[in-house]
Amino acid sequence: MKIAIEEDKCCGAGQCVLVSPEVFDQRDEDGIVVLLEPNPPQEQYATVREAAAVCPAAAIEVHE
Amino acid sequence: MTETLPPMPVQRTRPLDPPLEYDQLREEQPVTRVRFPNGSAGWLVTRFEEGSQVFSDPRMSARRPRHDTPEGEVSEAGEEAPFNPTFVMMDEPDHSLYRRLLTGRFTPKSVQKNLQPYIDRIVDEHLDAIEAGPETFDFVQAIALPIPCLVICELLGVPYEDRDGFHHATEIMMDMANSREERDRGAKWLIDYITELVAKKRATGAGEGLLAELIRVADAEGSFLTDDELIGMGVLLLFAGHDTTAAMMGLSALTLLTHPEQRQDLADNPAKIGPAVEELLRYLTIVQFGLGRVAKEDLEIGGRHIAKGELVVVAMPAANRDPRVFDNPDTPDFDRKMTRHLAFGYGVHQCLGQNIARAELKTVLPRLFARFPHLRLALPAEEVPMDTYGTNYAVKKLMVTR
Ligand code: HEM
Ligand code: SF4
Repeated sequence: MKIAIEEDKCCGAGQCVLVSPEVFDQRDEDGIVVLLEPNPPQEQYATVREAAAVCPAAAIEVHE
Repeated sequence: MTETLPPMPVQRTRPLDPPLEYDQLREEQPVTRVRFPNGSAGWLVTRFEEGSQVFSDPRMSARRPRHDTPEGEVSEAGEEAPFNPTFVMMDEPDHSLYRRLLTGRFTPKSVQKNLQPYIDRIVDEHLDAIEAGPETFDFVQAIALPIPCLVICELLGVPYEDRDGFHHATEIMMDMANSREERDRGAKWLIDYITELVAKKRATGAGEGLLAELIRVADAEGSFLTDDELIGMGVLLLFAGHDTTAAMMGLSALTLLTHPEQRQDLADNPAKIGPAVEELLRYLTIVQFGLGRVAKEDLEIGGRHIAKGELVVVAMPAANRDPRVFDNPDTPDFDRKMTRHLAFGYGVHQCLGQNIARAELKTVLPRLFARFPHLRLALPAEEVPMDTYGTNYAVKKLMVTR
């Protein structure tokens, strides 16, 4: 699995961090998403897919 | 020339369920033309996927006229707002420019670190006060209103002594049973209040809190943030931050008090509080008249052709009960497997304060029922007075016995 984020789209709602804190974080200053794990281990796949699905701004792209 | 159209459903039959006409609309006409409460015409969307699409389509503009104002009060996009609505009515890329001035203070991490300890303390203090007070009390005045007011005051750096004033002004502004003049009077009070507070903070060197941070942004050399916008954002945060959460807290308590099985489930499984709060947000969807967007070009939603300039309203209370997405949608179920809901909207305007609202609800609800295990309604559920005209659906008063 490969993850790509689009910072420009992110509205900082933090939904990704709530479902997948091992893979996503947010910058302190402006809440923009930070990708901690561009190639997450398999046990994270389910939560990463969920993070991409909940992101209100479609800022997370997952390639499998 | 006026089109003959069915009205948007607004009347509830059961207090915790959206108008029953939605069930038929959702099945037969999920994207359909209606007449809104104020008499304007447009599209109403009652399904979840189509609703999500409206919120996330960049061809849909957030600069919209109101649809939920009283009969006859039809106006142009943005024109009726007595204060500068700033990013709420902006589209990209401007919207992000403003919203990002704030987002850092609203992340789950920041809320956990900067607000959760405060929330823990004030919730316990208010529960202590209930224990020391009369056996029968109004949950709205005792908890549902003061906690969100205290939290927004703490976040913004607004003196809590002023709460009666700003809450009263908010109520007047949000109550669609009031005339435009009356509602504007409420808004004017809030604008004057924030204007004065900003002046005071400037005079004394700004200090702490989000309002002070915004003042520093506005006062920086070459800043794009005008005073009008600074005040608009202050007003927005003050009312959006307390009225919504208070409404949600009161209705959540009523829901648990009238659903003993769910209440027991939560008491037995405290770890379910996260999913329980999401489910209550979905089930109650307090933004009862939905949210509008305007098509910036001709487009299609759910197979219907929407023309450029037309108003499209997503009825989130209907969409959040869509059986295509939620099994047994009319039953609160804390074991529900749910990825997302529309109670906070969707797309780039999705509620900025959602993590604060979650933190407050997740703290208050379990502690309330743990502290007062015999808590019960002091009058029959049908007699609980509901705020049916508010932008946010709510209980007006919730008399309970501990
Ligand atoms: C349970 C409580 C709450 C509910 C149900 C709620 C609901 C919503 C909804 C549905 C929207 C989307 C508006 C749109 O798309 O046009 C929204 C936006 C917003 N909310 Fe909340 N809200 C809640 C609590 C809060 C709190 C606590 C704050 C502030 C501390 C807040 C501040 C905002 C702001 C600033 C926006 C505008 C975001 C934007 O346009 O980018 N809300 N809220
Ligand atoms: S959920 Fe999406 S919009 Fe929200 S912080 Fe994560 S990437 Fe950004």
